Amino acid sequence: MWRRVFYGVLLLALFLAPTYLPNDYAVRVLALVCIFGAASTGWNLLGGYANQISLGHTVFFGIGAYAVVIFQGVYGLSPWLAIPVGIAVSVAVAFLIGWPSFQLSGHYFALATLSLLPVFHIIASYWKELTGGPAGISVPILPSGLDTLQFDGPVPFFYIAAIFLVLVMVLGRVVRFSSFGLQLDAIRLNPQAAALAGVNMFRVKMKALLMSAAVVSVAGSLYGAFLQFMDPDTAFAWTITLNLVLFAIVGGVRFWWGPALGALVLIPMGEYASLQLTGNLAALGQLAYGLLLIALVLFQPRGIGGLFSIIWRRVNRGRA
Amino acid sequence: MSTIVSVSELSQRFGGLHALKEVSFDIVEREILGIIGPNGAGKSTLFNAIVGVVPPVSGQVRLRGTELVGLPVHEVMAKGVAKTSQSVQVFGEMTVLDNVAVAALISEDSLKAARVAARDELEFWGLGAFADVEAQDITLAQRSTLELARAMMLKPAVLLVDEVMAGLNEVEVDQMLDRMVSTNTERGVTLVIIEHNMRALMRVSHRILALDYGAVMALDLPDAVSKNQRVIDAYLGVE
Repeated sequence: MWRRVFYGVLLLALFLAPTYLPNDYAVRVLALVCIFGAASTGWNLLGGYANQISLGHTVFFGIGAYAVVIFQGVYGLSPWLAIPVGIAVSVAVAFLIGWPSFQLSGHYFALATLSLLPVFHIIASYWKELTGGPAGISVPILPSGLDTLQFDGPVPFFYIAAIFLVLVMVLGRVVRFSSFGLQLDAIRLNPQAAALAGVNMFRVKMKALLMSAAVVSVAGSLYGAFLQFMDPDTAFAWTITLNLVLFAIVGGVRFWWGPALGALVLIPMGEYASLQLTGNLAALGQLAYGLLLIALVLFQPRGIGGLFSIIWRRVNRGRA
Repeated sequence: MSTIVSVSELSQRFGGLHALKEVSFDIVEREILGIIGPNGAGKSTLFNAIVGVVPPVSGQVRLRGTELVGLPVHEVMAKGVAKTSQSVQVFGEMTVLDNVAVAALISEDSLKAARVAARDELEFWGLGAFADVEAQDITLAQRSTLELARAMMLKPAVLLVDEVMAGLNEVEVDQMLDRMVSTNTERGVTLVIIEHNMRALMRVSHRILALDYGAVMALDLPDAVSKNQRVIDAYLGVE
């Protein structure tokens, strides 16, 4: 009962945000929180729930982003058509990387995904007819509306991103508490025991990888629509993978709401730091960010979510 | 007296160590086969080679004629040969109930049904009261028993049990033996048991396989094996 009320209040706070946020800039930041929170939740399906760390999810993000910009900017097609195409390409790439590496144990999967990023950066840089090469592609200004995903202010786009985040979090929650989620948890906790419990690890990991790639691809598509521009350095940037992983770890990988919480804390913090610290002080923000992460990993490796669950247990014990 | 599993010329090597040397024996349907041997004789290595946790370098394992060597572990489990581990492999941060429910998913589609089946199995092994506790918070002996409950959820034809009586007191050993005998007679599971508690093992086993230095030293009725001079020498040492 109280749980439902709590969720209701949070949903209300999210969807009423444009009414109480001070300016368009803040709405834009919250839209980014939604996009990256959803992407990190997608990454977490495999990386967090099953502890199969992918360092290549930027690629799915970039494929989704390019799909929208190419559809709109090169062919003049609807961005909505680009989303399923982005998903299909991302899922195919994910399958090709998962097929060989999931047959091996250990860190092969992380290494294989690591190699994806430079490959796609090169493809995007040299396939000029499709991607515009290093200069990138811009989407021309079109009449605003839901069909073009171009709007006069940030508010309509924020709502699209917020709905997407909610859908992805529902997916994350359903997976976490399903039999599929239990199998992922088993793989995370003890792969050898998972095999002895009859878990088909290859199939379970593959299923999570494909789901995860699809979610991240859609998040990328929204990001592409948000920026209305894409170039290789934006689409296939190291920092995107890094952020997806960080948001999940900071929020707590065991929790379906962990990655979104991580994004909600870290993105505004980063924005604030870069606003306050300019010129020679700009590096200071990065430094503080780094120190904070080190402290978190050292003292609370389960993230903010882990901290919550400790407090929750204490409170319950106090009651009993 | 039909053979259910036939192990032939199974060999295992770890670097220069020849851990199993062309081990061959049959497991008879619905028997309890006890495995004894000094430390390092290759008992656990044999189990790991049979189910593919560490696949053997050569040799065959056939379950009713079907080759098991080369199959991934989860397929061996699905075909009907389950195993518990001496090194106790459970999911620490998961409830005892879910530890067992994971394995129940092999035959149940819904998590709810899997948990119902898991609860019954935990009751059978005397762990019902711990169902909602995390597996890391129960004793080592209980975690061993938990592995048995989890393995039984796979509805195995053959269950390989690796040292589950360590850390049990005498009353608990008796309870464990009762449950194993009932698993064998009432539930029809063929059991292969590695155990250091000789008295207990001799009591329940129909036959005993003695291993030494990765080779079969004796395979006979318990009485005969306990009088076997080579077995006595291996255990007590010879001048």
